[in-house]
Amino acid sequence: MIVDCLRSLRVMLARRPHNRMGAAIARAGFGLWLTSYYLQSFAILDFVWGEHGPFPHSEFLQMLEGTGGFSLLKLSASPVMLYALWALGLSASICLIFGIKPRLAALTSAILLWSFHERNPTILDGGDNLGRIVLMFMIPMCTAAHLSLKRAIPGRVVSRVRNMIHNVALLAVTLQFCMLYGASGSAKANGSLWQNGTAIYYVLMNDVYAHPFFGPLFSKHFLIITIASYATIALQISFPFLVWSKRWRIVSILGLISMHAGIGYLMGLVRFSLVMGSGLAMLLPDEFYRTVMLAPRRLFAAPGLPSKAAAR
Amino acid sequence: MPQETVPAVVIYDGRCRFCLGFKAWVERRVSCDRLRFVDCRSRERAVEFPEVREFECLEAMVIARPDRSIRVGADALAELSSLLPGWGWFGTMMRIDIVRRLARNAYRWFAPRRHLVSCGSGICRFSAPWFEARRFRRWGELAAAALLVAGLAGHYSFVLLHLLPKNPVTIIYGDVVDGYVRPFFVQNWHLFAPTPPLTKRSIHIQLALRPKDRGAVALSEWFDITTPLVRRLWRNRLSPAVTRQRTIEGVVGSYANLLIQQRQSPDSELPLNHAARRYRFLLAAIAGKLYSEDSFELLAVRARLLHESAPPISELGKVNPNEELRSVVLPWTTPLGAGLPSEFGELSSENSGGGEAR
Repeated sequence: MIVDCLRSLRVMLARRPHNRMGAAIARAGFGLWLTSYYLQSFAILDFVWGEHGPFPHSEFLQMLEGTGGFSLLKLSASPVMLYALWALGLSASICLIFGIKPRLAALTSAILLWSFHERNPTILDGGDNLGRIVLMFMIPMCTAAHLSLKRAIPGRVVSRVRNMIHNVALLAVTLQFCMLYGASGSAKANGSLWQNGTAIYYVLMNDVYAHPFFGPLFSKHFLIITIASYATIALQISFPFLVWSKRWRIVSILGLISMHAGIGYLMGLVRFSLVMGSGLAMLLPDEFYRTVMLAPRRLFAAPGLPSKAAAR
Repeated sequence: MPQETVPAVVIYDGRCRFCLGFKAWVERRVSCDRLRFVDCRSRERAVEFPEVREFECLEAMVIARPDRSIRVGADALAELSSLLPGWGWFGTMMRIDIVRRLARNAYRWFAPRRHLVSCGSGICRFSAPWFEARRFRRWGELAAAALLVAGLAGHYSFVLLHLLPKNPVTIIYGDVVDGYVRPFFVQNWHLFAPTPPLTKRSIHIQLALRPKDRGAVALSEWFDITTPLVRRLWRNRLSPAVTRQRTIEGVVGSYANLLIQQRQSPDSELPLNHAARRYRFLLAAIAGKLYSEDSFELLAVRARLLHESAPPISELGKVNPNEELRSVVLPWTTPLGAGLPSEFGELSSENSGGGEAR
């Protein structure tokens, strides 16, 4: 029986690369996320990662010794080094957006992202934490099949070993999201404010996280607050279970993507939501994207004409 | 009229599939007026290059330069690389004696085995008879799938243990789990759980200045440095204000937390020195923009954290909701890290010391 299981696993992993459209969307989304990370700090580069901020180079070296981390920025305190690595990081992330040499771009981005994260850890949020882990898994994946300037050559035989590596990396990303939402959902379920459905109210009362117009508006509507609090817990806790079912996976992922869109707009955490949303988009199957892309054609097809399927 | 260039000639084994694949690869990169290919077994070769014997060019690739000098094997590859855009480094490396020797040995090892590799549509495959056997390949794939999945299972068991609350396993094997997860897979998914932030925080700083004309030391007002950033952040959610605000909050917040912890348990060993240094660097960077260097000298600077708690949901809409305002005043620090000036005695005793709550 174990051999049978392994056999079907082998077929599943080696026959074709799964979720190629999702992987391409995630790659482009990560590219945007990284580009915004670099551009966001350009005007204050010297304060955030340079000598005129809380972490001058000597301080940074001590910090690195304490954490045992790794960073290319430790090589030199010179601003030339900082600007060069910044420019390299920006170019790699633009290559990711357009799918130019995506494997090399992902590898470069992962190394540089680490270097900059270690340089100033105070600016990071949960999205950065997820992004750098998923980026590592993205390196061996096949992400250039769609939305790419350099498309894979059509008809080119892709080896089964490569398929297998792509699919295992995809599985790793799925498991990473299960850990994320499992941990976050259960921590929320243990908090008394989430249990009594008022947590979102307190988030909306904080000026850093509350939209100046919608924040005060929603904070007075207890129905919205309560439903949103419970829906967040339900979506997060159910994800590790629903993601393994073909049909429920789509429901769960779309629910979470809309939750992140809400967080991005109403709480102002745009980069966090971008990385979470594009990571989740990777987990949607190719069939889903095909259906979505064909939907407008089906809807607006002239009613009198027989459709292709009917003609067959 | 431009002078016609004589192309170099590569003599290759026309029945070897690897050689054919390599030829196609080279042809895509080098134009035909610079390089020509001739099959080793052809009449053309026998007529044009009688000095190259058939067994020689079946043993190793041969290249005839435009001046008709001959290079064989690894040296032929080095010669070829000078024509390939982006591969010139190989020719340069081959000038080093040890590299040349290694490359020649590697070529000699590979040449008789080249029939085991076949190339087509841009991909080369290893196709030895024993590897070709489907059975072997199937089992190989099976083992690879099992290995990869076992690796994933192992990895995520460690990550799960890293994320779980304290339990008997993490207490006993905490070091092992930590050693595996750190630094690349460290993760924290609390994301506003179990308790979302209950207070609005703003950070203010105050400067102690001495006028250049030797007047008495004066204290400035408290400058609110985070509220304008938050306002800017909402105007453009991708503006530099986001990273600036997070850096200031992170450094001042962690220093304040450590001071409060130390006050609660004075014996605990906390990384207070590091936090104090970063606090000093940060304030020195910010304070420079708040006063005129021509008329004042900056003696010291300090920050305070103002916590404004949100009214409880039950009191929302009341005229005087039960809001709480708490301020934590952090110690004075000098921008250059020197000790505080002597005339500073009365000022510092007035309102210093960490974790002071009002």
